[in-house]
Amino acid sequence: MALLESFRIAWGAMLTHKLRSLLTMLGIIIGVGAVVGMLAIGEGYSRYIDAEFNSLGVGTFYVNPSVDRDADDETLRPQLTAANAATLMEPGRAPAIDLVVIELNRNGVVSAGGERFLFGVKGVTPGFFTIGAQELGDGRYFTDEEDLASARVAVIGQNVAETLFGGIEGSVGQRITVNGVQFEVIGVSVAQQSQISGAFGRFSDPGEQVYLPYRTARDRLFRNDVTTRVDVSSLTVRARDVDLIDEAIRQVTEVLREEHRLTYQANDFRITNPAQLSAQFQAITVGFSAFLGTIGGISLLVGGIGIMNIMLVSVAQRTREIGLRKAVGAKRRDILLQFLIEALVLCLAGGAIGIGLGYLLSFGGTFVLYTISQDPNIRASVSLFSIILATSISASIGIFFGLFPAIRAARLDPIRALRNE
Amino acid sequence: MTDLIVVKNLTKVYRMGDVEVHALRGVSLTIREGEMVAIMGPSGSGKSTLMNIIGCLDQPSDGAYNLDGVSVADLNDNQLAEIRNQKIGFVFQQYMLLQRTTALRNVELPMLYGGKGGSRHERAMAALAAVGMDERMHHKPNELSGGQQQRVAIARALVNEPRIIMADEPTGALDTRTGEEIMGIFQKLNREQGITVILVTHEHDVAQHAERIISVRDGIIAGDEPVQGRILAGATVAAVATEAEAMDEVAS
Repeated sequence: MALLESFRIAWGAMLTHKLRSLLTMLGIIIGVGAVVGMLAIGEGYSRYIDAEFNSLGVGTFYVNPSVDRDADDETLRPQLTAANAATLMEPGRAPAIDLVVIELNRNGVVSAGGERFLFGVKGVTPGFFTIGAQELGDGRYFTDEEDLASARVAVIGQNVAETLFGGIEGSVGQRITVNGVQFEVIGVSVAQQSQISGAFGRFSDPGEQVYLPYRTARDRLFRNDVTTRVDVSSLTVRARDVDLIDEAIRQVTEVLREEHRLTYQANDFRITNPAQLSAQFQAITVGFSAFLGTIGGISLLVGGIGIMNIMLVSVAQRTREIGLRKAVGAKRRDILLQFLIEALVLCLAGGAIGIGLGYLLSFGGTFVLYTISQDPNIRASVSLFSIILATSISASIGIFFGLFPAIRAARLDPIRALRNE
Repeated sequence: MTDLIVVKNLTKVYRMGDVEVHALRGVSLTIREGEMVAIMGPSGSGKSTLMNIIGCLDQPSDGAYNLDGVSVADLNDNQLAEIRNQKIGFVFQQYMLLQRTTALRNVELPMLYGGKGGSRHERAMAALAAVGMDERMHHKPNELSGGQQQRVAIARALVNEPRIIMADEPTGALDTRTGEEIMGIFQKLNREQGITVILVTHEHDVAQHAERIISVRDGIIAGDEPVQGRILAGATVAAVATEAEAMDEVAS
């Protein structure tokens, strides 16, 4: 019998019992919807996490002067200096790294002549502005020369500019004082705060910062606030390549231990690798996927059993039809195929509706992702792969669970089938 | 005329639980091509079993059955299905039409499982025309009267140009007059197209339309003789068709 004809019959049978077919398909619909939605949202979330970590800087890690509180050695005190940063950049010391940025984070009283405000003050080396998602609203960043010369120049955050000057416009060229020292505003940063920066203890909003050259901040503002052991808040180190980050961490650890003359002691500094945290965030995706995948799997199983059940009912109801078809020449194979295709059509139709449901879930997911990321590029989108996957799952279920009823139909004895009331 | 159906010493034993039921106990008969034969007998006589075996729906327990030169007892399921499809047309008491399907689609059904070439549509329409139902080919069974449904069933039996039409109580669900029209169609097909017609019935009036009556009783052939005073359903098929239309017009 022509396959097309079987599909036509199956389609007709499905439309004849619309409600019954829909209820039968429900498990498949929910299952496929869950799987498609899961893949879409999981993919979107994963992209969001990637984007967040990229905004912190690709292939970067942090070094802080910090001692493990659980360390047995109570004499160990934190140590990290700008000299360490210079050593790291010496040729041959840590070849896997290509940039070390020094940060000195403090607060300061900032004024443009009138009212005085408390803002975050960050003394940074100019490399700071090359890492992660930085954006200049106006003016320029300061240079290495200005840093080395302890120049009194400042790049201010967006909110600082608004508070002091009522907006970004016109801020550049103005004079401000930080803890009584005068600075010239040379640029306004409009960098956005990363959603996950808090995970590294970096709660500071970039808009609320005044950025000064590191040496200016250290020597002119916070001289009494730094020691020979610790004159930086952190070092941000960039590996030559993302893949070299583990090697870079190893080299930095080695160099710093050598510089700090550590032998048997624990580290007197701490290295934080965002990539590791990224992996933890990605693990959330996996957990989420496993959750929806389990729901999908159970629904598909239940849906499959539903399909089998309804196909058995259908075979019983249409026993006479089967008898007639056999009497006019249908072979076992013809009947088998007819019922198999009916189950297949049911499942594929359910799968199609399920894909629609998956789209709805992904729209919901996109909304949630947008709400937390504020980035229109981060969206849960249904991929071609998941559509193909859903379709093959539906088809497999149709064939697997439709086989038993179809075999039963095919084996019916035509005489008894014809007599069936 | 050649021998179309040759049955020798046919037996059929059913097993119902522990009891063996001997439905046929050695039946021998020959039906020649172009004959119109009635198989008669009360229920439980074995006539249905005999019909099922002749119709290739069932296999005998023992004995030989030769249909059109083919030994049916040696065939497997698929080969039996092919013979039913190609050589035999069935007409049932309850019409057995697919309810949600138009007359035309119903008639096309046997061609889905093997046809003789040519357009399915045209051949189905020709078969419907042969029973005077071409005007109603797009109607579904529930929009047709009993007689009309049986005509569609006959068209379905005809569509693959079978050698034999097997009709199992074809008028059993119809009133006398409609039944007479249906019998007229069988007689016409037998006379004009030379199709061998086998009627299975327990009604003497119906059997009288055949040329020969084979009586079955207790699993053996109790009688096999030509019909005396055969009833010829007076009207031609065309006349029956017009009459049916006229009746419909009155009805509507």
